[in-house]
Amino acid sequence: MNRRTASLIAVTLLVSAPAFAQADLSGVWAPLMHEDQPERGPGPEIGDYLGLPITAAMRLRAESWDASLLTVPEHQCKPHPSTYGFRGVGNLRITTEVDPDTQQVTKLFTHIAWQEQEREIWMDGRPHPPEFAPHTWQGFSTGHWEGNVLVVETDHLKAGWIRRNGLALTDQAHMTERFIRHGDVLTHVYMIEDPYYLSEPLIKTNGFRLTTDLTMAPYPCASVLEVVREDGEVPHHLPDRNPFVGSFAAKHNLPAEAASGGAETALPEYMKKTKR
Amino acid sequence: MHRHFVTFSTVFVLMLAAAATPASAQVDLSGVWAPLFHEDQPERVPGPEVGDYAGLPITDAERLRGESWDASILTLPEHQCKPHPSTYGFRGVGNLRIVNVVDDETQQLTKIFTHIQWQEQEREIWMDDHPVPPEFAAHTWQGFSKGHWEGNTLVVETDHLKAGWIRRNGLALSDKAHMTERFIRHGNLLTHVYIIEDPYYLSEPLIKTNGFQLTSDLTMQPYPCQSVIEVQREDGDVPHNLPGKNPYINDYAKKHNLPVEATRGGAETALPEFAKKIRK
Repeated sequence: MNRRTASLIAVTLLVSAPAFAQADLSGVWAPLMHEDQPERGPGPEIGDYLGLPITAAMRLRAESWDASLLTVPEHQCKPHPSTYGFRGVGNLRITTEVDPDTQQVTKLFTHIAWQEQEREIWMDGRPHPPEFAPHTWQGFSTGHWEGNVLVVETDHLKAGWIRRNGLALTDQAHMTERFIRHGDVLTHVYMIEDPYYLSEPLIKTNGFRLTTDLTMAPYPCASVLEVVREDGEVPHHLPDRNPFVGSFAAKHNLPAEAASGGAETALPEYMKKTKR
Repeated sequence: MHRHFVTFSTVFVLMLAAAATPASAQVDLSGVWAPLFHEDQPERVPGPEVGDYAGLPITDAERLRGESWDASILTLPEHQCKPHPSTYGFRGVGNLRIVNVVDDETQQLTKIFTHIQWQEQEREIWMDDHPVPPEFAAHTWQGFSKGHWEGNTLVVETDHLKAGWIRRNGLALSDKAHMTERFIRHGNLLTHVYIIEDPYYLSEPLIKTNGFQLTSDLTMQPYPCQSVIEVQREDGDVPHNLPGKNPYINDYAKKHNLPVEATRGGAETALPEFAKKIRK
């Protein structure tokens, strides 16, 4: 019996060798705020577009934004789009769905607590839907492995945002993400392209640490009348009429030109230019 | 306006932090866990020796059943693709994958799936108020399992099991067996404690533990199984040993220079006092 059993075990061990590296990302991950905490925790200041590769159209759009927009009932229960959600403060739960016959991963789910941002990442090689298919907050995502790095491509996004101070994205935005696991730490690299609002790809990273805490509270949301307004009134600023947009530069003693962003403001050379 | 925005953001973050506070301690067990063999390796990997029942609380009926067993039974087509029952699977060598299922609306855990690679042992542990099936409901290899939390320990009760086994040398379980498990996570280590009761084959609960280490490897191969004719036999020929006729049953005692009485098992053989008794 021992010889037979040993053969059985040997076959089992052989079969259990992974075909190629795929990191298990499942679990509940807590965001690490070592990076960009002032923007991600308390929130960005109005008019802070420093170092972001925004276009003139994006700048105009952001300057017209009024934070009171979030008090309008239609805006109160919006989740973050997938282009922003991973910057938030809520825990991230990743779940893996496996085909029972092949044991291959067919889908990953990500769930972020705030406004229940639930996202599907298809791992089965399916194509992206046609252009006219619905655009959603989380978009349509497909993933593949490059070594043990999960690479995700997302499109079919609703018009969303990249920062919580009015910096928007169009529904033509495309995001490429990389999820890199180092033990109990996860690095999330994301790159957003937008033909209208970004002149170059926007690249950011977020860190997470694996927790052993399973619980995630639901986030039911019902909109209420926070501010009584006339029908059709939407908080906004007309071009060049935003009284707060220069406050960030003034507070931090920065040239207004630098605070207004653009690709070149991310480069070290830009500092010399503003000193002239 | 700026102050309004910062105040709004601060309140918003505080609300989020409050919402993220867990309702009760529940440990996330999801992931792929590799078995650790620091415990009982000779039994669990190469396999137990025939006739080794030392320290196990077995009844006479179980001993008779164990002695009638012949390892060649595993060559029968009907036996080749059997998975381990849940009363044994966690002792095996395959990786263990644990997956959580959550209710979309409440975010409460409704079910835990466990999957062990060998023969694709797929198991459901109901975490909601799913009703326990009636006695006449089907008995399966993995049984019907319900779980609940005691602090941050997952406690699972299982019944509706097919007749299975507790050791790979013929020590069987009846379909009346009941198992209670505790899953205790310590960082990236998992301790699995299980207690099996069987009114026919165990005189006392059998208690064992298994250890696992979390891996970061996602892949798990399928385990398709198809039976073949391994040994030509007459129809109805089932490998077995008649009572008192198993020629191998004393080999274990002889090889390890143990009293046969000790290797025959029974609850008292687990106690330190038993060593004194056999020395008399």
